[in-house]
Amino acid sequence: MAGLAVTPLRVVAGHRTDSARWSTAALAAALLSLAGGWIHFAFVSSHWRDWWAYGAFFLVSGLFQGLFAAAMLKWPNRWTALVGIAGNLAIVGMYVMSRTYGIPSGPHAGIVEKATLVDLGCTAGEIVLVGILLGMVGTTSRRLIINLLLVVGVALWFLRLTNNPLV
Amino acid sequence: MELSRRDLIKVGLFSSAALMLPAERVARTKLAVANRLPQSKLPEPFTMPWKTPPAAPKTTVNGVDYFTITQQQTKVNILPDRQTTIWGYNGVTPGPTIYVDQHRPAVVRQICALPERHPELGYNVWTSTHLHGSCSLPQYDGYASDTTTPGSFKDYRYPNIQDARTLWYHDHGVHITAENAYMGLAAQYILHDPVEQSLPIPHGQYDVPFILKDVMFQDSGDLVIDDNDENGIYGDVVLVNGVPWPKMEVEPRKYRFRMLNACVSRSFDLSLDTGEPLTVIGTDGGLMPHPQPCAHVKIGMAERYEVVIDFSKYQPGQRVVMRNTSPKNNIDYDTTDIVCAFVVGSHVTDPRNNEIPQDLNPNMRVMDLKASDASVTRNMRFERKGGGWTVNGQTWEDVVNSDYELTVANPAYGDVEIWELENPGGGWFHPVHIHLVDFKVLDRNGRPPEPYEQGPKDVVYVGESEKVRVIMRFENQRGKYMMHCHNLVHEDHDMMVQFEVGDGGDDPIHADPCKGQDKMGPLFEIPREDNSGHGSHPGGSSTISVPAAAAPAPRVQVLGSKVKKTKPKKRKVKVTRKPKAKVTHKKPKAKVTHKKPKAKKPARRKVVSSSRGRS
Repeated sequence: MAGLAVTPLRVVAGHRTDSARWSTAALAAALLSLAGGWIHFAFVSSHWRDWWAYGAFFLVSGLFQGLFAAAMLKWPNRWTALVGIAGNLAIVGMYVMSRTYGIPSGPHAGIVEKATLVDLGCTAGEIVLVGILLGMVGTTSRRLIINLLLVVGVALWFLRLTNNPLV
Repeated sequence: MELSRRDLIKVGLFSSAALMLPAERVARTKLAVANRLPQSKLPEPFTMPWKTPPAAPKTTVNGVDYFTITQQQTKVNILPDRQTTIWGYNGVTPGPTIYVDQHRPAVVRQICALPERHPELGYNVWTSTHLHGSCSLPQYDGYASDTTTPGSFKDYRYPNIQDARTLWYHDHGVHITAENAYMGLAAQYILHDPVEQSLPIPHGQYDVPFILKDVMFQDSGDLVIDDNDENGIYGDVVLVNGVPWPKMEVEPRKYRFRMLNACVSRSFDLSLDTGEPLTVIGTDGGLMPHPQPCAHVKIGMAERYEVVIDFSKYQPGQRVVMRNTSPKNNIDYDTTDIVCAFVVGSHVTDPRNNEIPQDLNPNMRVMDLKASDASVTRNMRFERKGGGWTVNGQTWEDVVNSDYELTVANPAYGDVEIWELENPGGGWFHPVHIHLVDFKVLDRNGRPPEPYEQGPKDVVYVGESEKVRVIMRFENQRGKYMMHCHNLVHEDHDMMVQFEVGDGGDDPIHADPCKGQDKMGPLFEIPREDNSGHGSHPGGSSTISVPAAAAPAPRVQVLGSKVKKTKPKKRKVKVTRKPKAKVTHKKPKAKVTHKKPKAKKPARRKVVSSSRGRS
């Protein structure tokens, strides 16, 4: 965890070193983020036609994920990872809301969108990305975030299993 | 750097919620389709008895008819051995038939007592009730974005100034009309007038509502709701008045059937297995000028035909089957080629009104219109564009984004216009409904209209690669009205636009929005001098509403957005104007001033529940 500089993948006597793992993680995070960004960019125009704010959301999401990928390669440190976790969780949160409670605002407010393979795949990628990034932050931060995710997960399942109209 | 097993479980709990809850709705639909009730478990055709929808209780006070209708979720036995969750007006589907007389206005209180979320699909529920065939004011026309949410109500006022006709009321809530209507929110509304009543055509028990609908059941008995990737909802069970392939005992005489296709997406081509004709005497807008004997009648969604069948031609005990030669581009099943059966009896209880006169309604103004009367011809192109359903490249979303200003046409009050309704696609048909007006079908791809279309219409079947010309006069009301495809899935996604008649019409959304049930006062007050009960029908007192103390506050929603009632906040949306309908000025009349065509703007489209988009 100590060496945070960009380190090429290294294998020592058939075993990966910590820094090699770190580099692999950073590379994987960057690739996943890039893929997510690309998917968001691909849907900017169609959503923009629906409402400019929908398009703007996709544009910002795509920009964020694209820039994050670059940042991850350039500055693969815990602060970058924290930013990535926050941003991707925000995107995942908006996704869950739009597919359960409904779109929060705009001309389609309240309408629950259908999930498709593309968006489920993208969200799964973002969750894996968050998992990777969690391994790159400090112990305290990690515990805090994971416990927060636990609370949100339990709350979502509780609302669903009690047939609460929120989900 | 690695996550512990405990950490993974915690993250996994969140991940499962984030992925499984969004996928649940799609999975449910897939499971429901997979769980479709097999044909072997469906009732045998022509074994279930005929039913007629109940009449809605009416109270008449000071020359106004009052009705109270509650939109409810209930479980009913459509199938003999299973219960089905439906949404019904007063808890039945089809809902109660409203009977009214010409020149007597009606007020229908629609109370939305549905759940806040759809039980299966989970969407937020709202409704808007359209009286289809009525020249209602804009705020009572069931404008799609003038929604009523659960816990709210709205008093709809209907003028009933038109000629006798078969109307129907059904849901029109923006983006969820298909699902709401499929769940059961549809019913007939029958308007009588002295001319129609004086004709010796079948009346009373021989004047029969005939509401067609197709559904598909899950093994549990609940409905399968699958819109086939926004193409349409199709069922394998044909219901007539809510009964699967019913059998009707008839007397050997003439019957008049008020046929309504209340399906979401299915069209029918109806005929009798005996080869005898169906004599069409009325269309959407009322009686035709003359009866039309037809070997078959193609009926698209929302179309109405009043059809007389003469059972005196048959032997007692003979069974006559109504068949469906399905028009193309429906999804057909082994069980959708039959509709119902009639078993002919031997005794006529009432021989009166057993004729079909050659002149039915010679005074129908719209049928006198000629192409040369029109000052303007507009082209309306219904097509699939960029994954969405559009009209001249526009969608209802464009209307919403323009703060409900965008229109495809602005005819002046009293103008006569020809609209060319064009379907360039070959893979689908569009029954096109123009609100407010009755129109006359001039031609179809240059050929004369079908014999059964030669009456006043408000929906016309625009088939594959067809161009249908209709002519109409814009009268009775001013304001904004919708035009859309009546494949309700197409309408929801988003083949609906609006036009504006004249200037200064009422705002369809804000002129009289829904109110919370805590504000629900009496629907009417019986005047003191009328306390004797004169003019009131039995059961009327039950329609006097009492404010409900614990009812939730109203939620006024416009297109799903919460909108302040007092000063609607305008979004800062830069709207570039769409090209209006192609207008050909033929004979500009001196008194008519046409608005300047608005600036052209690039074509846009809208996908509501994008199958491609995310977040």
